[in-house]
Parts: sequence; C-alpha cells; structure tokens
Amino acid sequence: MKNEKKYSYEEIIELLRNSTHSAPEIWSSIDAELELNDRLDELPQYKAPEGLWDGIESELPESTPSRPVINTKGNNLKLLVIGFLIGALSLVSVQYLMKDNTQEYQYKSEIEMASLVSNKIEMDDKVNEVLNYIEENSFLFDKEQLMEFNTQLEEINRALEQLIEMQEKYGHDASSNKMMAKIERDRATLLKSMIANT
Amino acid sequence: MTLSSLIEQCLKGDRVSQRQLYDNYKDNLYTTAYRLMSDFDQSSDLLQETFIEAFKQLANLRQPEYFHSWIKQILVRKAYRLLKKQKEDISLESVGELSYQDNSDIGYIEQAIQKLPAKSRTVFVMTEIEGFSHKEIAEVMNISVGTSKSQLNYAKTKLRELLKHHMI
Repeated sequence: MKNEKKYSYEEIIELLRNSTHSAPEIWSSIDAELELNDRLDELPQYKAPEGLWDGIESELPESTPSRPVINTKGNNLKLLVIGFLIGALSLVSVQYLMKDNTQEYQYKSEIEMASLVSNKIEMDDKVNEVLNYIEENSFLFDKEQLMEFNTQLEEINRALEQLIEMQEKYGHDASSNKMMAKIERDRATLLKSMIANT
Repeated sequence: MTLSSLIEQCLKGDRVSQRQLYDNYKDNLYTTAYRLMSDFDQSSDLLQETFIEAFKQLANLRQPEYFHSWIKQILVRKAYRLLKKQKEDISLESVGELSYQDNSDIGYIEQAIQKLPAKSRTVFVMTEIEGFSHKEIAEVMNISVGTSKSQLNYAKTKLRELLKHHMI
C-alpha cells in the first residue's frame, strides 16, 4: 500500500463496506429492454375464427371419443395394464394377420366345427348360419381346405375372446373397438371365401 | 416515496419509478458485481441483466423491504454462473505480488480480493462485505453450508497472506 498505515482485518472489511464504484450510465439499455418487453406484452391476442375446429376435425383420421382425465396413481397403474394388454393383443393380431398362408398344419382325423364357436363369443345370426352351412356341407370341401379354415377361425375366435375379456375388465375404448371391428371383418372375409369355394 | 410504494409503482410498469429504483441501488450492486467479476465491462453487463431480470420478476418479491437482498441474490447467482462458465480458477501460488494500480489503500485491498479463486471470492464478498449468512450463500451458489464456511476460511487465510505486510 502507498501509505505505511497497517490495518486490522476488521478495518479492511469496514473499508470495503464503505467504498463503492460508480455504475456506468447503462439505464438507456435497461430502458430499451424493458420497453421492448412492454411492447411484447401489449401485442394483441386474436380470436380464432369460428368453425375452425370443424375443418380440423374433418381432416383427422378418425374420431376419438373424449375420455375423463385420469390422474390418480391407482388409475395410472390401471392405464398401464390396459396399455400393456392392448399392446400384447395388437402383437397377437399382427402375428395373426401376417401369418404365411403356406403354413403347415397337423391333420386331425376328425374336424369338429362346433368346437370352433366359442361360448364366450356372441355370434350374430348370419355368421352362425354360415358356420352351420359349412358344418352340414363339409363334404363339399376338401380336408385340407377345412383344416385351414378351422385353424384360421380358431385364431380369430381366440383373438376375439381375449379382446372381449379385456373389454369386460377395463371397458371399451376407441382402440379396442377398432380392433374388434377389424377381427370381425377378417372373420366375415374368411367365411365369404369358404362359401365362394363351394 | 417509500420503498414499498416505489416497488408498487414499478409493478405497474411506471418507468420513472423503475429508474428511481435503479438509481437507488446501481452503485452498490455495481460494486458487488465488480468485486465478484474483477472486470468493469462484465460488471456493467451483469448490472444490466440483473435489473432487467429483477423488473421482470418483481411480482415474485413478497416482502418489498427485502428488495436489496433479493436483487443482490439475483446478481450473485448470475455472477457465479458466469464465473463458473469462465472456469476462472486462479491458483494463489501463481498470484505473485500485488501491484499499485490504484493510489488508494482500498484499491490495493480490492486487488487482493480479485486474486482469490471465484468460489472463495464470492463467499468472502457475500458474507464478510454484504452480510449474507452461510445458509443464504449456500442456496444461491448451490453449495453446502460447510463448503461456504470452508471457502470463507480459505479466503481469509489467503487474504492475510497477500496483505501480510499491511495488516496488524
């Protein structure tokens, strides 16, 4: 230090506390920034035109029914389970849909058409009618054809059973309804193809 | 005008009151900024950023009487973040002798403070000069109270070493 005076620690702290540096003139920069913020806050908000949603909705792939917001822990767990089941079911369905038609099947000596119709599945009258027809006129089909039909119908019924069980437990939602419609369509296609072969 | 009513006016966006509040605290905050940053240009930027953030966040200040402490915490948080970014960590072994850049004793003492590493310098300035508690420092700097205390001891020891010829 310039002078010979010696300071105690407390005196040094006191010196520091009492000394200040003069701030440079920066208010204009602060003012400009605040002004910009004010202007941004004042930007008008515009109302979306009426009927815009209708246009958006019409472009959406399909309607999804609104569901209540579920936010409790227990319900979240339930949602996870449902999600898992839907995923598993989708996997089964995809496997089923992608199955190669050249798959080899084990022949049974006797084909029991009645066993194909699960008790759990409420078949509509037309489907039952077609199934009864095929059963009663099995002589019209060759054995291999019947076996293949049998296997495919069994798979469809299994997928339907799983889906129905899931819907009974957790209720219907857009995804499971869509899956149900898809499986029923496949069953109808299968039955039609059998009738066409007669 | 009291501090409370000044702040109330600032909350309404009254620019004159904002300027008044700035004038009241600018030098004190600039000095703290300089002691932390050791650079006048950076201190000026820091002061500007601090006031802008303070005015934007003013609605979050629950007790107007704590405005000074509140805005200083904003400044220290910003300064410490900057210092960490700069990875400024000058070891005292490389400090060498202090030079006379300033005719005053206080200038010489400030040079010594600027030779401290960022963390211990921040703790020293905030506790010893600004009167913050170790708990407050720990929160602002995101360190433990123990670390704050040990950094202060370190700063004091090193300052005594640097100023040994000028201290009783």
